[in-house]
Amino acid sequence: MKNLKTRKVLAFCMAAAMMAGVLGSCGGDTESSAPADGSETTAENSGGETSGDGDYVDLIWLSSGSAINEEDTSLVIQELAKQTGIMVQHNYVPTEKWQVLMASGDMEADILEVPAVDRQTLIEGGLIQPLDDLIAEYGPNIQKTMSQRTMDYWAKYVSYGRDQLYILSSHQAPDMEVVYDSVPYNYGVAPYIRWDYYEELGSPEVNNEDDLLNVLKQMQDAHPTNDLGRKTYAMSLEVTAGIWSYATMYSYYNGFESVGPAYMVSRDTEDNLHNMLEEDYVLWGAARYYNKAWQLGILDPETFTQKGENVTEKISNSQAFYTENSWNNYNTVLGESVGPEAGFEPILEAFPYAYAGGTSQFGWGFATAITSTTEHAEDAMKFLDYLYSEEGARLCYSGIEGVHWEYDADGVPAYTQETLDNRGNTEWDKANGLGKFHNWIGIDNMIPASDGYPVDLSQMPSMLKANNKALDEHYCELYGVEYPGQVGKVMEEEREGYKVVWWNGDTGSLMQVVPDDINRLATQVTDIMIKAFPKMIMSDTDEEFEQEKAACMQQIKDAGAQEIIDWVYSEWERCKEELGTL
Amino acid sequence: MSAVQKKTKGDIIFNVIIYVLTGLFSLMCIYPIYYVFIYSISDPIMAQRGVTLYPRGFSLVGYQSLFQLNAILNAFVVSILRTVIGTVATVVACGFFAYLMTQDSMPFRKVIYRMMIITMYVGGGMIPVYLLMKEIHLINTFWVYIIPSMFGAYNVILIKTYLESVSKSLQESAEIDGAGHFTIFFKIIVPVAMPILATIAVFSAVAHWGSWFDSMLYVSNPKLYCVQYLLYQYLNEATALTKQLQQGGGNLNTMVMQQLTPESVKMAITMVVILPILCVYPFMQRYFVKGLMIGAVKG
Repeated sequence: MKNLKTRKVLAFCMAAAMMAGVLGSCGGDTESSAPADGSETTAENSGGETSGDGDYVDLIWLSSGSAINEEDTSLVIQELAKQTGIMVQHNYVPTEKWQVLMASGDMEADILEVPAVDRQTLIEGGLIQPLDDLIAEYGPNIQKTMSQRTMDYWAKYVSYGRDQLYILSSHQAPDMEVVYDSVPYNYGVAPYIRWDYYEELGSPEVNNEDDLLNVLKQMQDAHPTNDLGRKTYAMSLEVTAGIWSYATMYSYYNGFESVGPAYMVSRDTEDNLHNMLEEDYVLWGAARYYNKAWQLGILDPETFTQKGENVTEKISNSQAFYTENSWNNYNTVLGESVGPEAGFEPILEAFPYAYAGGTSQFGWGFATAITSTTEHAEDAMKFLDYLYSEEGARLCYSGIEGVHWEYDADGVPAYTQETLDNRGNTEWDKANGLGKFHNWIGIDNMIPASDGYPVDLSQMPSMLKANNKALDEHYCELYGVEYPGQVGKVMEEEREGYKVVWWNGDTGSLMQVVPDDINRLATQVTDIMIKAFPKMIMSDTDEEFEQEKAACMQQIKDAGAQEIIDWVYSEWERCKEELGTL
Repeated sequence: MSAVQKKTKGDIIFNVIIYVLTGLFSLMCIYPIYYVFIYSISDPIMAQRGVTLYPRGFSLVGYQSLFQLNAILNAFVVSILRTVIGTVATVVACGFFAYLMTQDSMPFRKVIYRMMIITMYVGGGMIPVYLLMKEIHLINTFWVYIIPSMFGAYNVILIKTYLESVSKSLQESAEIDGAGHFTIFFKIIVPVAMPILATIAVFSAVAHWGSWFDSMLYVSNPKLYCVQYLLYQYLNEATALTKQLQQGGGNLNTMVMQQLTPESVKMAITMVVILPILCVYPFMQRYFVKGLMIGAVKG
């Protein structure tokens, strides 16, 4: 009996080992994805080799970050493979693994997304290869799309003395003015308020931040509790991102952008620098703004301890009436729980500037490179080059012609009804792959293709308008525009000095990596500010606020803020001079 | 007849306080799992308004979406296989090594044992270990889950300590009958050491089921991901996007609005991943305590 039991256990273990062996044989090589349209599956193949049926070369594109790695079977990736003969699997690895791969000397990929912080390591470690020769032979679209100035910038400033082009920046535009003149669908960073509550109050005039705070106070007085009986605070925020949380949004509303580390220095729209040791510096203004909210009793005390999920819950529950960005689906939740008229819209009148975005001729942060260990450098370059072509950009941004978009009788391209009906549908997005490689497409999405329309059809005014929900339509009607982003332009026409700002990041792109000693000072100064800001904001009187502010200023001065400021100022001047030589 | 101790008023009050405190503590431990469960069966949109004691609406869309993900089913198979095979491998490897360490005839027994002890305190570090796995071609294979964790110094110490309490006469009588080391190990030692081996098996199984770091570090083929690493990816999605925004990687306005996995799906994944261990662990926990005591007591 015992013998039989032993044999059964042994048989089970051997069967499990056989299954494991089968699974083990799957390891190490990528496989061709199954086409989403149900056509015959291509044969299994090893990384970088041509497959049986599809004749595709398999490449791996690696990015650093946490995302779900799944086999990509979307229609767009299939079409990219058909057009280029290259099937690319885009994988993400967490930071720890990214660091280990860099240390091992082999990134185990063919194409890399290059984070700014790792550029030097990747180049000096020999992990990525120079691209000059590859571009000359296989990169006609890159040469056409990327200006010589941009290529010179990357070769001179981001090759650490090698004077070779290692990195390709994305979202290039032969004519940057097209980008700077464009109007986004809405303002991702703007003061948003509960529009239905605002209209309940009779839509009182708002001309500055004090008017806005008073409106929020009135909203809170009109709705002291929500339908669940919970207390409301007009302003409930999350500050877990430290000084970024306090600094960024308010700076943009007031026409400032941070330059250098620790938010010590900012530039205005005329490119003049200002620093934290000035009494009227924008960060003190941010602290004062939130302090005024505190003194009015409309700032949630839990702001300093809660997480993003808590804020989401409060806003979705109508416990808070103000938010500083449009990244969440509050209007969807409120639309379902309260009604189609409930939701958030921006009150751009409250501040003198609207933040449209930031870009640079040298790219806006996303960049790619080809690894030095790849066996398919030419194929990798061909694939990247395709992303710099009009055809490739239109495919990645907008999908397949005839499937996701088509030309009407007048030759105007437009999304198909199926595409329009499925926007925001996660499963459909995954199956179709629109927006694939968005951050790394070579051509900026606003740039017109040869048909005269943007490569990203979602940027056409008619398409932007199609994003409007019921509340957005109502909001647009009030201002006489087609979509919310155009309200900024109305403000420019009606209000003297009002400006919709696209930040030009060319000068900032030339700033060198912050030296270690400055970084150390920046860390100390940031720690001081993180502790001081809540105290300033929670001051019960103006006098108390001024005292806390003075104490904070003195502390950061003693900690060496002037050294950081001096470094940023001199670095900025140097960059401006260098920019003139490019 | 035994005397029954009469409870004083103070005893009763004391007991009530203890029961209340431990009850509250238990609630604090149980509530997070309960929260995940009720969130996972709530309507995804209504759940954003907050879930506390009961679900908001009722919807199984999280579970439906979950089981449409091929990755989940595949990850489950990988996790189950590694747990079973890994546990068997660990028990056999550690058990046999511990047996050898108890044999006087084993050459350099003391040196080898002390070298093994050193590994409990000194490690190579993440990068050297990764390079080693790469050199021996374990990267991106199923066996990276099994082979590196087969041998554990702590497990060997527990087993060796237990085996030292077993009478040598059992082994001697088997040797007289002509049994070799393998026969002695499998036919004499294993049955006798079953309690400690079962303990090691439980430790190993729980460790394998909960392990995700090796999957993250050594495996890039999505088909070889284990279920815990998949959960890690889903739960960290939103954090990664926030970090990207804060690092200024791009334009705040035109940042790609990645379609984040809905919260309800994340909660459903969490429930599904912890369910097997939730079912098994309560029955296995007694072996932890018992096994540790067995290993500690010398015969």
